Amino acid sequence: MPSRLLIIAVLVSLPLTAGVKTFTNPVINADFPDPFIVQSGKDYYAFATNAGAANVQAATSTDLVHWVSLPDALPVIGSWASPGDTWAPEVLKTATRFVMYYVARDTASGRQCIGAAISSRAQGPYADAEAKPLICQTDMGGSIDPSPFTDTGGQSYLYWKNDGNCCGMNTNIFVSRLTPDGLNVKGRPVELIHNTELWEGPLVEAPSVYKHAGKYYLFYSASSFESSLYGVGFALGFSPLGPFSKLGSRQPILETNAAVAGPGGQGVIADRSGKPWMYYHAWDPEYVGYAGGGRRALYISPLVFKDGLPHVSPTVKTQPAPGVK
Amino acid sequence: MTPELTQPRQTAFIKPVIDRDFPDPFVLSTPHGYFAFATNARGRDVQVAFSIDLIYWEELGNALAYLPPWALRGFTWAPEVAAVDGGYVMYYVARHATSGLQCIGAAFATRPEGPYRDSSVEPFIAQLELGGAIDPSPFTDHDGRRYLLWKNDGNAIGMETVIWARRLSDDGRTLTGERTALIRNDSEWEGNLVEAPCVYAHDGRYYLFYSAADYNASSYAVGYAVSGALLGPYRKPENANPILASGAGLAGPGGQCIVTDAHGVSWMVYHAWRPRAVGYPKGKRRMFITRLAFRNGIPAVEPADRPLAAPGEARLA
Repeated sequence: MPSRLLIIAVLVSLPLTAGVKTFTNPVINADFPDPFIVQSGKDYYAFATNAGAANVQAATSTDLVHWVSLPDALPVIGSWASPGDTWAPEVLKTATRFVMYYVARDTASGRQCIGAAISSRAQGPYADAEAKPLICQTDMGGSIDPSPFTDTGGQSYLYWKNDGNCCGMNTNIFVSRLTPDGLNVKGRPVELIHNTELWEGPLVEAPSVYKHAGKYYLFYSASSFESSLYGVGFALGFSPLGPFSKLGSRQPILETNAAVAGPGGQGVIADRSGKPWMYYHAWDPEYVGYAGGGRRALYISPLVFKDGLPHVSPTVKTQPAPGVK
Repeated sequence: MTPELTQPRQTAFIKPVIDRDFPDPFVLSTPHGYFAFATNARGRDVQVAFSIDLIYWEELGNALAYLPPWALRGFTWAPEVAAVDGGYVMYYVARHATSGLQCIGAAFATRPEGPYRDSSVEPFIAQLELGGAIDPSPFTDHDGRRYLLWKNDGNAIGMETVIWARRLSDDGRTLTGERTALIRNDSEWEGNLVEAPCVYAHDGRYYLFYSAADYNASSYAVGYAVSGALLGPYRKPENANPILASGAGLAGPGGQCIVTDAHGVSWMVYHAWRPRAVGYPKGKRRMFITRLAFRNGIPAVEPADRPLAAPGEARLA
């Protein structure tokens, strides 16, 4: 379990006292791809794509900086799925419990499809009792990268991507309304954005929606995840169901620099003072791609809005830590 | 209600803002953003695009994928949309199968971008004896009364063309009362037709903008008539028309409408050809926008051949 050893290495290298004023990225210096962070009570829980024996990696923190590894959050995948390709888990808090959306190989079609599993606790273990995946666009290459969003009024939505790039097709970001229990989608999926810009290359993926000042920011990753071309862009809309406009912003808002390479798989989490942070995975610029000996470690950076436009400045230098109250 | 932009993305822009064939454009301002609709092209019966700044547009596909039983596919023209309780009504033109003339339909959707649906067995307005009916344009007066303006397609059968108006029900889906003739083609520059009406209320008066002459040539242009009452009588200015005509960078402008941005600035949206590629099949009618201003009660549009202050920034200027 090399990933857990690396987390322990992080823990011993940093003081465990609360109220730490500064920190240094990455906050999990192990392969922790397609991260998702949810807050439950006083604790944060992070989940990631499979590594080692775990279908869904999990870790917990009280300050977004110091993370402790947890057992596999999805020890048993749905009966519809074959093991070995469990990707991009995200969690929705419903009125009564937690729903984890995850990606796994649909045995019947051979495509990657989205399943839903439930747990009474944020950290799991989650169980998928369904006989079929929740979403499986087999004619569009399958469906991956599910991302739930709950609007101010309480209505929840699920965003995802058709995995067209698996099979020479276009990729689109879709959205559907979720039922209150989070276990079903309602109505026809709405197609939101697709890969149109040069930097996006063959795909857009990893959608995550964040509401700021009454507007909806649809963050997404694009290009090839195993390269330094991977990055994060956004589109802006006035409703969770869109439409969304890329605003002519033809460059990513988070991209390779001297500190990180190929950042993506992003999401947004508020610290204890309410300040938003973008979390994402990235390669060390010296080791990009698995073949190059790299790993996708977990980074956090302040998400700042200037004139209504989001900005993220990744750094591995010492920087102010997430706020505590 | 118009979406508020925190800040403009650009300080200036160079037109066209939709650099594809996007004829007879109409822009609707909604709480979800701006939606532009256009005549059929590139496989879409009704083109629809989305923007939050009137400059950068996302293509959304086909807003009217299902035509009513009275219509033939392939001639879906000049859509305009009005917000009503519970949704949106699109007025559009399609080919009437039994007469072969162009007629007006009304379709409904719960979201501004559609999909719009119309299951009517007859056109909303036919006027077959006058050559058909095209270029519908909804208008809501300050008292909340709704009207529809349109043109009888007289030039299709060698007749005069008239711009008409008639009351609409509050839900926009039924015509009421009698129709009223507003203007007809009677000036030299107008050639054999007036068309593409849209009304804009300003300072207690009603400005009826319209296009005239041959849309497929550089003679096409935009004029106006003015009245103290929506249903007229309208007076065309002595020497002011057309107010928007071929010039540097564009040719044959028309199919116009007016949209007001988040800062209360009004813009004329229209299509035009590039001067070196006028008419089909060589050319495309691309979508342009230009500021609409009034001086001493006379409407003026800014020149179209240089960068303009962008919408949303107008208040800062």
